[in-house]
Amino acid sequence: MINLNAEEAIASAPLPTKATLRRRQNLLFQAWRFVSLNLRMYLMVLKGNH
Amino acid sequence: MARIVILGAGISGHTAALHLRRKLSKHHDVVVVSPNSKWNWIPSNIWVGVGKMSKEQVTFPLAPIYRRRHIEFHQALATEIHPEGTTENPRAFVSVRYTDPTRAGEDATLEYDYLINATGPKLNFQATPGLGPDGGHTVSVCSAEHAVDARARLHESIEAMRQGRRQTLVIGMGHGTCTCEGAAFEYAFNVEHELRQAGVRELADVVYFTNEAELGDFGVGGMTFGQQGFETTSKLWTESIFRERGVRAVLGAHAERIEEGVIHYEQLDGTHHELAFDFAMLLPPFRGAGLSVFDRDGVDVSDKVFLPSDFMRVDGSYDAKPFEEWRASDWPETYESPAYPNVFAVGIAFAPPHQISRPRTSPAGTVITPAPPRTGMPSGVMGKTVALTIIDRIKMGETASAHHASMASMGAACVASAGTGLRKGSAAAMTMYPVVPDYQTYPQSGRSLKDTTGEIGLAGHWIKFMLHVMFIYKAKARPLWFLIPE
Ligand SMILES: Cc1cc2nc3c(=O)[nH]c(=O)nc-3n(C[C@H](O)[C@H](O)[C@H](O)COP(=O)(O)OP(=O)(O)OC[C@H]3O[C@@H](n4cnc5c(N)ncnc54)[C@H](O)[C@@H]3O)c2cc1C
Repeated sequence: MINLNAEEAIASAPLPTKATLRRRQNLLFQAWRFVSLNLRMYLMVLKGNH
Repeated sequence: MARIVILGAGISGHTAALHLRRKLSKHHDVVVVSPNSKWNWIPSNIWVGVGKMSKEQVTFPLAPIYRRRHIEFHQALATEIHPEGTTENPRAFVSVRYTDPTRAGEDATLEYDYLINATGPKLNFQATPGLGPDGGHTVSVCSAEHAVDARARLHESIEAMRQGRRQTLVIGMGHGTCTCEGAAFEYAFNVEHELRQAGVRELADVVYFTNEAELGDFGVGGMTFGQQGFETTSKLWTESIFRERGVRAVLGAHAERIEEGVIHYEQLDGTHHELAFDFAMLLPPFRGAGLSVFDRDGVDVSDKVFLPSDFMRVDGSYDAKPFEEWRASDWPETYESPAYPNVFAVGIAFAPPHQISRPRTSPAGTVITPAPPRTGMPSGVMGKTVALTIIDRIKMGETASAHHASMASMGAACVASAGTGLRKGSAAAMTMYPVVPDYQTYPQSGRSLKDTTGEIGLAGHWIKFMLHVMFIYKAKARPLWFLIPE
């Protein structure tokens, strides 16, 4: 059964903690994520082009 | 000597043209037909639509690149395909009408040995009365021109808020069968980011209006991610972003008609509502380009080659069957037309066998389900795959087997921008493998948990920007362009 009540679903979704929000904008941590995400996407491309 | 004609110079057609030209000697002709003089990196249109990029930054003229690469370019609209030629001349050809200002309105025919239909979507604003920027009440970001108009309207709204007037900004889907939910999601969050930067956020009600039954569906039936030892869903993840950023959502909605400042819509539960707006960016549903096909005797055989949606039948399985019986193997692999094996369709132009999201209708029978997205990465891969098949057939003969690239064995990386800025930007970076769920191979969620991931942060924005730079570099066929993957 689908629930079309978006307000309810959104209101009960977890909020990111302050630490998570900081991590999402932290330059050093994000530089590491940039490298890691690029690698993940590159591997994905290779997998699709087998 | 072979002559390959490519209809459309978007992501898939342009990719096919560049690979064909690189691998075939100059004895063979590579011909591109496209009505626009410019190439557009469509994913960055959302940034034009919030005023963070200019139209010139997301487009460039095609003619100089094609001249440099020895690709014959016709700025024209293809109208008819004649795969059997005529009774007098059996050579296959397409009819085109020039849009090039120097020959505007002139008709011509172009003969071919291989044809690639890469005509992308026809933006079907007519499907919903009052939808769209041309005579309707909503804006769009589907083309760079549309995005420039959207930016102007958004800034009028921001100006109204600066004068203390509350505004409702609605962003989403203009019909129950739209696709590209990811693009609307991106635009919604970029607008929200822009409102905060302009200092007027508290005067704005931002509403994401969608045909998805749940947030996070994105037209791919949602995703299940493995995260820190737990399985989590794109639904929960997306709802969390909506809560954090204070964006409202209307789910399972089909816009029935749009009047000045009001969307009239039906929801999956059969109820009808109205939503008032001051600014609305609603995407149109897509159709195929509407090409007609004629046999040798001039009889219209379009329905042999195209589905009623005008998307082209290829090697997929188009038998109607219930959701539970959908299989990964229904999806095409070679993109060859079963009617004419030297004709191919790639990118948005090929007909998908069915949706990816579970199909749903309202009690009145209105279909309210996202159409399957054919995003940039799969479109580019299809363009290259078909180019490789044609190259082999030219070099090794007609019996050379086709190269394969099914969306059910292809991954996709989707980076959904949620705001720009080298220090303040953010984006949701998602990977999924495969795009079309394969419950035979991955019984749990249809996709590999290891390869289906999502995370939000500044790094995602850097990647989105990097893709913008890289793909424009590649499309301009600059040195070593072919090392950049599709
Ligand atoms: C606003 C928006 C944002 C998006 N963001 C992303 C994103 O972030 N990531 C992503 O992966 N995908 C994104 N997409 C989807 C992506 O743009 C498409 O997957 C891609 O453009 C499809 O490529 P295509 O070659 O099939 O079609 P297109 O790129 O649309 O190209 C079609 C070409 O055919 C031409 N044409 C049309 N009719 C004819 C005719 N009769 N004769 C000859 N030529 C014709 C057109 O002029 C055009 O040149 C977005 C789409 C939109 C609308």
